[in-house]
Amino acid sequence: MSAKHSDHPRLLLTGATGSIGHYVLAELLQRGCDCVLLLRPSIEKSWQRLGKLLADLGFDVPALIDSGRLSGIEADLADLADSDWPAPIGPIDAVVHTAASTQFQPTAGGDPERTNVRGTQHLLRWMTTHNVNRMHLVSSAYVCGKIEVPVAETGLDAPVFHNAYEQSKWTSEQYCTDWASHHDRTLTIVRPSVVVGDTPTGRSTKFSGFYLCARATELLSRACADSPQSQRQSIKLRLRGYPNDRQNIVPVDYVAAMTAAIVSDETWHGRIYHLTHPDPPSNGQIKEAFEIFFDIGGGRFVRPDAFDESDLNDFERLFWDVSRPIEHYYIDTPDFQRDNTAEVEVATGIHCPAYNETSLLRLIRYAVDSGWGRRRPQRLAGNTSEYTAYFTDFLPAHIARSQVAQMSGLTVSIRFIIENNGDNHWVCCFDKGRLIGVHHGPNTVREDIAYRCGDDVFWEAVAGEVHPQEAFLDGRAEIVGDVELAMKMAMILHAFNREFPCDRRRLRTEAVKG
Amino acid sequence: MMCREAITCEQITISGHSGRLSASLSYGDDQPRAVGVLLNPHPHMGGHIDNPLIRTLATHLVDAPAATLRFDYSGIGASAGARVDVGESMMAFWDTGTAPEDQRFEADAQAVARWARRELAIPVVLIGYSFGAFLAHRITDEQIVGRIFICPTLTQHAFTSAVPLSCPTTVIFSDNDFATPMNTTRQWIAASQTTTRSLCIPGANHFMRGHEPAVADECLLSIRTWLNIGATS
Repeated sequence: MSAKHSDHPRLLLTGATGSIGHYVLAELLQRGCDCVLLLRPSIEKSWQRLGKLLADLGFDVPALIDSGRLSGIEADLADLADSDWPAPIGPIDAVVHTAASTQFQPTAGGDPERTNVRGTQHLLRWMTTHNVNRMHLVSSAYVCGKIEVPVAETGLDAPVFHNAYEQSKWTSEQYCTDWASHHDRTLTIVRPSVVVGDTPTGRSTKFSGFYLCARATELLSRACADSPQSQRQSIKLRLRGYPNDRQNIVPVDYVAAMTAAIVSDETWHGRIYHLTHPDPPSNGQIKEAFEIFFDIGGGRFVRPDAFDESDLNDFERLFWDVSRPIEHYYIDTPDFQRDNTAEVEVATGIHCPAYNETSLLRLIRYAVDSGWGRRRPQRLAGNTSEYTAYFTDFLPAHIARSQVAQMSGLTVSIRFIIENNGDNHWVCCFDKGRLIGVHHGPNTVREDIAYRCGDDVFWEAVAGEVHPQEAFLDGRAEIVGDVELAMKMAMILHAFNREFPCDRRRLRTEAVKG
Repeated sequence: MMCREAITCEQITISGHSGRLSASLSYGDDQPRAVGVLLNPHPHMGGHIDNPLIRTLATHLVDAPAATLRFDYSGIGASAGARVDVGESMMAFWDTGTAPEDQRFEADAQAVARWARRELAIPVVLIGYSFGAFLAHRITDEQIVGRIFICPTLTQHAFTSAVPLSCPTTVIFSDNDFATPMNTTRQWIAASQTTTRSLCIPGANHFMRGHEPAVADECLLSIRTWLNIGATS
C-alpha cells in the first residue's frame, strides 16, 4: 500500500495493558510506529504489567523506552479533565483508543459508562484542544444490539441493546462520529466480534464471552469426576440454542493485525470495519470440542421456545446461570457484513483463520493451563527447574534483543525434546521473528519441527559450545520433521546461543531463589 | 597434527578471496597418486572443515593412495574474512537457500584448486558435497582429472557450464534428498556426457549420516579407476 501517516507515526494509545490493547501495541511497534501510552496509576505497576505482557509477545519494553519508541503518561482516562493532562506530550499523529470496560451490567464504580462513554468524551476533548485530528476507535460488532437484518459497516441508529456494555459502546461511537463531523477530522472504527485467544497458541489474558461456556463445561466435568465413564458420557444436559447457529469468535492476533494495518495506512481511514469471522464455528462444533477436552458427553440442544427455565436439573441450572449473560452470542447471532474488512484483507494478506477441532481445543487448553487467567501457563506451579528458568525466563528475555527478532520471515514452531529422566518437552512459537509463546508438555502446541537430544547436548548447545547442526550430523541429536527447515533453524539458534550464551549454573542458582 | 595412525595432517594456509584460508592437507605413508580437493557444503548447512563426511573422506582416501585437501571458506573457522553468521546472511539463506557470500566461497574454491595443482604437482580430483558439488562443477580447470559430486544441489543451482566438462564425473546421491529429488538426479546423470559412475545410497538423506564410509568407498573406487590404480592389499 502506498499512503501512510509517515515513516514513523507517533500515536497515542489507550488501553495498552488490555487484552486487545497489548496485541495492538505489539503490532503497531512491529510496523515502526512510536507510541505514547496512557497508563493507569500507578504508572510503575502499569509498566511492570505491560513489560510482562509484551515479553510474552517477544518485545523488550525497557529497550523500547530507552530507544524513545515507547513512552507513557500516568492518567485514568475516565477521571481526566483536560487540565489534568501532563504536558508536554509532544506531537501526536493519531489516537488509537482501545481502552474499554467490558462489564455487561452497570457496576458500583460506574462502568461500563464511566470508561466507555466518559473516558471517550475526555479523550475527544483533549484531541480538540491539541488539534489531533485522527481517531481510531476500537468499538464492538455488538453495537448493533438486537437485530434481524444483516449489520452494515455503517453508523447505526439506536438499536435495542442486550446490555449496558453494548449501549455504552454505541454511545461512544456517537460521540466520536459527532466529533469527526467537523472539518479535517477523520474517524475510523473497528468493530471486533467476540475476541478469543491468539492463533498460534490460544493465548489470551481475558476469559469472558466464549470462555464462560468452556468454564461451565469444566465445572460439569469436575462434578462428574468420580462417575464411571458411561455416566460421564451421558449427562442429562439440555442446552438452549441451535447446533447450527454460529458463535462469531475471532482471534486477538487477527484483530490486532487488522487494526494496526488500518491505522498504518491512510487509504483505510474514515470507514467502519467489522472484524468478524467470515465463517464462524457452529454451536455444535464448539460443544463437541468442549466435550472432547473435558471428557464428558450427553448434552443436547433444545429450541429456545421449548427451553423451560423452571424445569432444570442441577447440571442444566449450573450451565444456564453461567451462559445466560452471553446467550445472544450464540443464539440468533447477527449476520455481519464485512466488505470493507475483506478489502483490507485482500490488500494486506491478513486473513481470519478457520476454526476446527484442533484450534478450538488450543483455546481451551491455554485457558485451562493458565487457570483461567490466574497464572502464566508456561510457569508450572511449584516447578523451578532449570529448564523452566531457561525457556520461560532466559530465552524470552534475550531473544527480543537478538538478531533473531530482526528476522521478519521467521515464523515457525519448534519442539525441544530433552531426554532427562523421561522426556522434557518444550515448544517455542515464533511469529515474524518474535517469540510469541513457550509451552511445556508433550501434547500442547503442534510443532513444525522437533529436536531430540540428551540433557548434556542441550546445555552445551544453549551455552554456544556446540552447534546444533554438528550435534545432528554427529548423531548426538535427532531431527523430527522437515530436516532442511530444522537445519536452517539450527543455524539461527546457534547464532542466538553465541550471541547470548546461557550459563546453566547461574540458571540453577536463580531457579532455587525462585 | 596427527589425525589417526599412519595419516599425517598438515595445517596450511592458502591465499583466498578475502585473505588466508585455513586448510588441512592429509596423506598417508604411501606416495599419493592424486589429491582430492574437498569442497564443503554451505557454511549455513554444516559446511566446515570438520564436517563428518568431509572428515571421513580425508581419512579414507589415503588408501587410494590419495592426499586430501580440505579447508574452511573465508569467514568460517580460522579462515580470514568477514564472519558470515550475521542476520542478513542467515535470513537470505532461510528464504532462498543462498547467501550473499556465495560468490566469494566460489572464489575460495577456485583458489584452493589452483594451489593444489600448482603446489602438489599430482593429479587433482575435485570432490564437492552439496553446495560444494556446485562449486566443483564451476571450476573449469582443464587439468582436473576427475570430479565427484556428492548430493549435488541440482534444483538449487544451475549445473550448466559455459565450458563443457571434459573429465569423468561420479555422482553419489541418496533416495531421500530434500535438496534434489532422486529422479531429478537420475535425469541429470542420464543427460550428462561425462558421468561415468553413479551410486544411489538407499536409506540415506542429504546428510549421509551413518553412510559416510559407503560414500568414501565410492570416491576411492572412482579415483583408482580414473588413475588406473589397482587395489592395494
